[in-house]
Amino acid sequence: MEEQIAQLAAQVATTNTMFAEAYYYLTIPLMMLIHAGFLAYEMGASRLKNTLSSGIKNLLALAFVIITFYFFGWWFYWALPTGLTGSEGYMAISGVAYANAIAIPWGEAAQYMGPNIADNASGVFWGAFAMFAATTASIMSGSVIERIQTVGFVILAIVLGSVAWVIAAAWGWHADGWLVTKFGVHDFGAAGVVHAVAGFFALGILINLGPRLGKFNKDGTANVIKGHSMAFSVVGLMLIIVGFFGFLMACIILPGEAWSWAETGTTIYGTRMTLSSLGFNIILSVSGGIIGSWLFTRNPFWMMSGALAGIISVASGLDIYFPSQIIIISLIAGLILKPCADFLERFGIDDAVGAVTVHGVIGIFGVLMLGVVAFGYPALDAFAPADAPTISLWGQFVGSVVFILLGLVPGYVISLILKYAGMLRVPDEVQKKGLDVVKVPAQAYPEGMQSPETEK
Amino acid sequence: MFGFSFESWEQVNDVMYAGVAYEGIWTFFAVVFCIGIITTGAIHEKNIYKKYTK
Repeated sequence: MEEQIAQLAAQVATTNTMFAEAYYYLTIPLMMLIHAGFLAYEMGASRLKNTLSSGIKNLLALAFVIITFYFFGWWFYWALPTGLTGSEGYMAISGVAYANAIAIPWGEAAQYMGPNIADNASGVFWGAFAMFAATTASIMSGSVIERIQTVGFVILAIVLGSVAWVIAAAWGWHADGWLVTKFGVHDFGAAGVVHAVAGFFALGILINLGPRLGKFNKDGTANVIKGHSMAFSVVGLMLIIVGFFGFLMACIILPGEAWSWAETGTTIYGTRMTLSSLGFNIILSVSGGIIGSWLFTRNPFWMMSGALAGIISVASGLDIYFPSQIIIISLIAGLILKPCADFLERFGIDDAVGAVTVHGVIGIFGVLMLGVVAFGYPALDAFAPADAPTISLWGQFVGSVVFILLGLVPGYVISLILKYAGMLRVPDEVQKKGLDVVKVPAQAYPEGMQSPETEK
Repeated sequence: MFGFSFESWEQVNDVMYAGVAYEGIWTFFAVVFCIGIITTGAIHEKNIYKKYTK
């Protein structure tokens, strides 16, 4: 009898492990859809003469961020939660010593960085995080199209995807993160650590990069530079939405494993939640964002951007918002989206796809709204210290300031260095001619179909 | 550095990848390859812009 129970227990444990492994593994291809979406979105928003070069740039961001996240990005996440000192936190899953033990691809730690018959977790967790990292770079990628140099862009993508956002995640998206343990920051779906950091990183670059030729008139007024395929962009945006179901699914810590924090599903902070919460809240936020942005724009590009803004505006609290709160917050996000983008343009910032607004501004809006609507929740649960803080508007405000700085400062500084090194902006002559004809040994569309803007 | 480092699958209880104990060397070369490719890309890009801005 005891032997049968032991066998049964072993079978249940194996099933649980395989379920958890498969769950996280499937989030990876779902998140790859985000990149399929960004690829289409960005190529569609480019003029015909720059279509393929925008695609190349986007693909290289994905590839280089994933590889560098393997080399060092993952280490930053585990090493720095308590701050730049790299000391160990309360949960004992952070600090330089811990990161050196599990997150570098050499020495003893390499056992957790490759195929290991006794480890069904590290690879799928790393894979999901690598896709989060690549998402930050893709967010930034669209805003700088049609005038940024490829290698300069790749360097910026690496800094954003494998350093800047990772530090934000360590500080505000980790149970030992000092923003969480000291200020009670709550950002379940990464509105701040992914979206706001990437959006403000893009803003830092745009200040140094300058606008596309012809974007602004001498009197400072802006022209609309139309992409070559609105349909491609809108479908791309819908693919991003689909991918975000995987992204948000991967933000849950499943129960039933040695590394689980509770007998229920939890957030990355150990606070309790269900996948079912996301069932209510994600699709409602998409709907709210679409409807809100329809009011001022009547434009499918902005309506789909509104859908994305809807998700981002509630991402911090998808685990705890009541659905009607979701509808209101996402509607507001959709409403303010276009006016915010127009406001940015008044300062001479040419954000080709509205990434600064959709991800940066709305990301911060989302982080702050959680402090307004859902204050008082314990910020930590399983294994939390007795004096763990609660969610508050002050805490969300501190988190917002940190996320803005972690994006804006490195984006500005690194792009300034690249500017002086002559590696940031494509020369005007090349912009006029079109990047594809200069740099790409292929055509976006069949022979004979050429951009009217391409100089012969 | 190359190949299977165990005598049989029975000995495999944890890591099972090729090149056990040489992970650092493989990683070093992977980093060098990436840096080489990005450097080559930068040179190519600089040259091509020069060609079109003469």
